[in-house]
Amino acid sequence: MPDIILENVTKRWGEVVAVNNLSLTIRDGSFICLLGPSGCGKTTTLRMIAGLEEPTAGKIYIGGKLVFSSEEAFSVKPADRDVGLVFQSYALWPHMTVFANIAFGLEMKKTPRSEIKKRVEHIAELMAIEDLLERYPSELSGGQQQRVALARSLAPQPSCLLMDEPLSNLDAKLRVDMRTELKRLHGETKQTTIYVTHDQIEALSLGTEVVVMNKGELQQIDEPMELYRTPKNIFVAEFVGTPTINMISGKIEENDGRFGLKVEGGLFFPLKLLNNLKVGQGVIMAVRPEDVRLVKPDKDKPLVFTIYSTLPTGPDIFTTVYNNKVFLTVRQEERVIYPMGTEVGIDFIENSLLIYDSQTGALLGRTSLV
Amino acid sequence: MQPEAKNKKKNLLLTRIWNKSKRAFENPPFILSIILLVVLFYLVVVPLISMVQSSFTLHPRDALYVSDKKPGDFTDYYFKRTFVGPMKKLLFTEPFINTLMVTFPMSILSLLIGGLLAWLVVRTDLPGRRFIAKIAIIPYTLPSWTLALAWINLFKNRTIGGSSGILEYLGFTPPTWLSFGPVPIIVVMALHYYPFSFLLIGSALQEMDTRLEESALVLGADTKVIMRKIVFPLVMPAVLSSWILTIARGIGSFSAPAFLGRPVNFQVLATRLYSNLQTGSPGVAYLLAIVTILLSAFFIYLNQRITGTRKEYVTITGKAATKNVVKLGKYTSLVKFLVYIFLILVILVPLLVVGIETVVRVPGDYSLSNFTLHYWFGKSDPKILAGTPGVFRNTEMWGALWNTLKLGIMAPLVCAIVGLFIGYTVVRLRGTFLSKALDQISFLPYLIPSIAFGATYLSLFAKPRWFIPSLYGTFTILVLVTAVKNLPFATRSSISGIMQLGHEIEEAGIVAGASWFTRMRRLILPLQKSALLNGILLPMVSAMRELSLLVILITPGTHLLTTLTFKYTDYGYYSYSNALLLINVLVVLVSTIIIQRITKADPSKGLGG
Repeated sequence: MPDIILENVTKRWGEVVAVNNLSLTIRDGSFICLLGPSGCGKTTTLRMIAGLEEPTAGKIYIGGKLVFSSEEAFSVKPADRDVGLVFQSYALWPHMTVFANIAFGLEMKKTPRSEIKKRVEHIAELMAIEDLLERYPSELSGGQQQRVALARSLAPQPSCLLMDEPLSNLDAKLRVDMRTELKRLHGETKQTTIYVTHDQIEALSLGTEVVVMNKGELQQIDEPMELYRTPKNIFVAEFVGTPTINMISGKIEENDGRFGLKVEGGLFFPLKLLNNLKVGQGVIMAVRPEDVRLVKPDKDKPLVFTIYSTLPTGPDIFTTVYNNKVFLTVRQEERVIYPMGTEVGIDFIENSLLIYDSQTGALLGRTSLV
Repeated sequence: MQPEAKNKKKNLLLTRIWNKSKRAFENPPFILSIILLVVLFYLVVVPLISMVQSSFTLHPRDALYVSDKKPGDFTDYYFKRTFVGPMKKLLFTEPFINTLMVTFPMSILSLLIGGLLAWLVVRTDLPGRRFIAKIAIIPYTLPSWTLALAWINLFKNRTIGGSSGILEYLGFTPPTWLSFGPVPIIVVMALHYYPFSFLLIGSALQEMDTRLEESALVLGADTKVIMRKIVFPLVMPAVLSSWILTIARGIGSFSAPAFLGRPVNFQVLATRLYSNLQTGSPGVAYLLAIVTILLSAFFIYLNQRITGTRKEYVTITGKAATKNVVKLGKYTSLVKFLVYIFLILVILVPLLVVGIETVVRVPGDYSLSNFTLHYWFGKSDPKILAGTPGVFRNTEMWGALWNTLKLGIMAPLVCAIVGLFIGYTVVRLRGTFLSKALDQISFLPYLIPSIAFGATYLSLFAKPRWFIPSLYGTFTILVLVTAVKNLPFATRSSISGIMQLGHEIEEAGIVAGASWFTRMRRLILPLQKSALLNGILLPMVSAMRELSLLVILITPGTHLLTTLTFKYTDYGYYSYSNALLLINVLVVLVSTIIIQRITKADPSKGLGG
């Protein structure tokens, strides 16, 4: 029932366009991650859904009910939108105990006192904070505060939970733990959730769907793995994935009757023909580090690179190689640390080369080396 | 088809208007800001306009001199009289020059004293620095004429009539230039204002990032070079700023020139303004008030330009690291001796001298046989001071004491609460015109010297206007003027308090469905409680020693300890005014101690610690 629909929503602050003509449907029970760099409009989008910010134009529906329409200057108050909101800073009320914090929303709904107690205790148990109810926020650790903030927004049983970078104030280990918890919680409750983050790993690991935004514009909306495998444009390709995807820009050319990518300065990557590519077209070829292989240098294949530096991280070894001005980061298959300056050949996994138009940045197709 | 579409469009417009206005009224900061703006406009801007208007409106008394006009008509009579005519020198030029002549040397002297003390306390190994820092700011908490009265008691001579001072009694007759006039005014004001530079420069020295000095140290600079090349340039903005702000304060200063200048007819703008009101020339007085406002506003503006553009210069990290301290070595005892002598001379000796004056029956005779407690406890005696009984038997004193306490509590209370709401709306509506307007207008009283601000209130509330009765002569006007004058500080601290609190604390309440009143009562106010308490308690002291702001608004029914002191000084009843001053000092010191206990606020905190 509580589908959330945004229709052509725009938010302007004077000259600055924070969100531009965004249309989005969030289905009941899904866990949507809004992902993008800071200033991309993801938090603004969340706040507009919550009713804390007013769109300049557009309509918003929650659960089939119109909650905002710029045309009629109509806006439903945040409290009547049936949403819960977890703030980045948690915004726990420091002068109230954990119990009072969680109970506040229920109190505002005029819930009977006995019922409040029951519900607070239930939710506290669910969040494993039942021993902390008499404490004050300042007496809690960051992770505990996070759980209290979550419990506080869940207590009035909102039909949709909104979270604004809720884990960004936690240390790395705790963040991973909380992700596990959030995923489990969503699996159990199927609570419709909109989750704002700038951390692509968080978005990929939590969301049932990920919405990538940049400069107020929707870039791509897809399931996490699809988003990773097939970024629809250069921005998404570059933003998603660590280490960053390799990018090589050049021109489509025919060399001795062979079709391929010609890099300024000489390097030529022979490619399988893609129908929508024209000779002379400027393109960017992108390839994930795990799709590049280091091989023995081969006289027949002119793709000879030199080791630039090697960064072992424990489970992986990331090696940067270069030829002239072309640099590639490789996630090595073999656990060998090559000395700097070693010459290596390279190869790409079948069908792993993504070709983007260098003008529009749009994905043109997927291909392999010949 | 056509009319139907038109109808639809019209309906949509109505719906829009209806929805918009409904939400505007559901948005309390919006309504609140409009109410506050109207009230502040009436209490800050309208008095200014009214004063300007009054200075160009013919006063009934002067209608004789301007034959072709009726009272209430527009006139340039006062303007010409003040700035053009033969009275110009007396009314404007001389006081103007005197004001600058007093203010500049005073500001430099106070900067030197304050800066030197700050350096000694923060940057040397002088023993007892913490204690010195606490004591050194006392002169600023005392009424500003404490030193002036003490000076008179010590240095007065018979050449201007009346009794002799202590020095003359001891056989040394001070020359008149040392008894009254610019020299004592400069010294007395500098000794009152130096704590201001002391605190500003002290905290700049204290909060400087030590890593900046350590970097120089590692690169091979010695302490002297570090002081000259790193520390001094970095505290320069604070030095400059405290200097300029001291000038701005000096320009509107009333009490020291009133006590020490008027007996030899040495007039500054503030005292000339006052005497023109006393002699029934409000038009001239208001013009002089405008001159002081413009002068002081200019210096404050100058300060903001300088500190505003060089702000990034001051690197404040709040890191309490050990400072690069200059070792005084063999000079330690000498410096320590000089500092303590100085503090004794500016704090203890004046209070002692003031005290002695109250127990001397015939002024000028300090022998033991002349000792009396009459001025404290004596019954009315027609032979002494026209039968005025001892202060403790004087109903006027008890009334003034009561009024002082009442004002000290009510004005800050009003000020802090209004300030809180202004701060709240300014932060919540940030970026809108309403927010900017409120912010600016609540800052305006800061630009206006106290005595000129009092004058604006006199001009506005002297007679009833619209539905507002004439407030002149009521206690309300004293509360109002004191509250509004202190508003810039209350608003500033409330803005930073609400900013620190962040918006999300309240938004969490909005999402939970709490109404605005519930949010204020249960979320905002409890969290601003201590800030609010500080906002009420800290201005209490300044309200209880305020003279220049109130002196022209006081009527016999609303006397305060401060104005009563001034009145008896005017009568020449020095024994009496000294006794009143001591009571005032006692009230101020006791409340300062109580307040510091409650709020744990100590302006000298961290200095020399």
